[in-house]
Amino acid sequence: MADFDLAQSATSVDSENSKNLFRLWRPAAIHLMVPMVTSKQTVQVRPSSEHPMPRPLTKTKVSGELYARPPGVEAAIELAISQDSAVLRDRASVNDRDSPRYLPSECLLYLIRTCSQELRDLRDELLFFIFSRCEALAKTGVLETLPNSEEIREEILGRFAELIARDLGAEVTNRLDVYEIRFNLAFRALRIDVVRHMAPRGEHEVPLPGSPAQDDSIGDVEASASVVDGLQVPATQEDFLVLKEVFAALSPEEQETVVLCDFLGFDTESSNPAKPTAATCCNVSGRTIRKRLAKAHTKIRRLKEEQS
Amino acid sequence: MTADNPESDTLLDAQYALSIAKVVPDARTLDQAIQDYPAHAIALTTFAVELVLDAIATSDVETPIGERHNASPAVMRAMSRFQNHLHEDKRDSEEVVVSKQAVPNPFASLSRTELRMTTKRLGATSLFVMKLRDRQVAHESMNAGFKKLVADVLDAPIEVVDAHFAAPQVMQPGMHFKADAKPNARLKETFGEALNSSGLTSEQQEHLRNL
Repeated sequence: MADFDLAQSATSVDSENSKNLFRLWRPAAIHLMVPMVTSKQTVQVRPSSEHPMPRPLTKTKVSGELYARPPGVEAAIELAISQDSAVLRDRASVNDRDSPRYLPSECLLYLIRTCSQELRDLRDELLFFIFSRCEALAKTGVLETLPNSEEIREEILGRFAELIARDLGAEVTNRLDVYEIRFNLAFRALRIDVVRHMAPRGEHEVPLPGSPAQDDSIGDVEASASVVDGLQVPATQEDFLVLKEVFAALSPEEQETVVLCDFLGFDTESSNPAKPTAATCCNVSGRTIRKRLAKAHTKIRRLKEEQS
Repeated sequence: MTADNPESDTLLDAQYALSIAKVVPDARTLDQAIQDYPAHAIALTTFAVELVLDAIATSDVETPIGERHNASPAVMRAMSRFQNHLHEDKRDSEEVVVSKQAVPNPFASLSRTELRMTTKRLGATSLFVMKLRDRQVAHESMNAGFKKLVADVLDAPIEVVDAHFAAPQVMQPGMHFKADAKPNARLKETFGEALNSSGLTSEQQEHLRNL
């Protein structure tokens, strides 16, 4: 999965057709020039600069620090707001991330959010393109095996559509700001949330082929922990493929235990009842966690041996 | 992401923050998220597990490239949901403006302190007074003594108070609500229901009912 939906900055600017439409977007400078204007209003004010800057995000982290877009996204937006609607329409229709004309989803969303009333037709076209991309993302993330997968995908899309409508409507919100930072990862949060609420209980987990081992012994958890070394920080596609194979061999409970202990660093249990552990997270005893972990590590070790 | 109240809003923020921090969250990113949102530690841990499993499960799935010109039924329905929601939002805000302009609201000009004083003088709770302010109580079910008390406390003519309670219900702009859809602003509680559901003591209810 790409970190954010900016495979590369688009560089093909049709200079002939590029009639600098920045007057029609709502740039950052507006806030400084017209203090009474809220971010919800569409304003036709020509900014003082000939090189419009993207409107800054307004959402803050808990620390009070403002969220900021990655530089690549900023650059892509700067380029896009200097282009005319025909170019943007064309770029928005490109789905190939490797194409130099590809408009990153972060950028597409920025244009939708800042589109003026005069460009409402363009906004609706851009919406169509972003919904199409979201549909593709929903297809990858919702298992076909779910009995209501179509319904879930539609709900994901619908929720996103409502988020945009609320953002463009009367209510002042900056929830969509995170989508302008890493669109696919923000959309993932929405997708997972919808799946969690709509998928039949237990069915959205990665399916387990075969039955779990019947070995009830706890085994030596510490000694077998080394079998997952190197898997915790998947860096390449190959790492992910290995992990997928490994996880397919585990039961949902074992998957959860391995993620908690090996990926997220939780202790199996603690004498301090206030301390969160894998046991408290799963609401089972420490012994159960150790047993699950030992089973999982045995399976992983066996798989590794078979592969080597 | 279904609800719209301050608590679930914070959870949403926390989930988004964790999701965009890293493709596969690790112990450090989860720790940071829990430090930032300690009230949602358990939910965030569950979400982190889901993120890891999701990243692994979808790692080798190619995102299908959509058709350029053919809108799928799902996309068309999303467009329709967008338009409906946008239209509904605008209509609601216009209704609020119109109804507010049509009938003066004697509670509208009260400051927070004045509102507290009003609550105290009515012998009620803030929630009950909010319902009165937002015209959520059916005026025909109120007793005349109660309306007179409100008029006295607000120092407003009884006709103004009567007209206020009889006017259509209003929703405050920017108001949050839990339901998926905006609540209908036309159904009012009866005076008795409002007394029962606003945290008043039995003595307070008795007093206001018998005015």
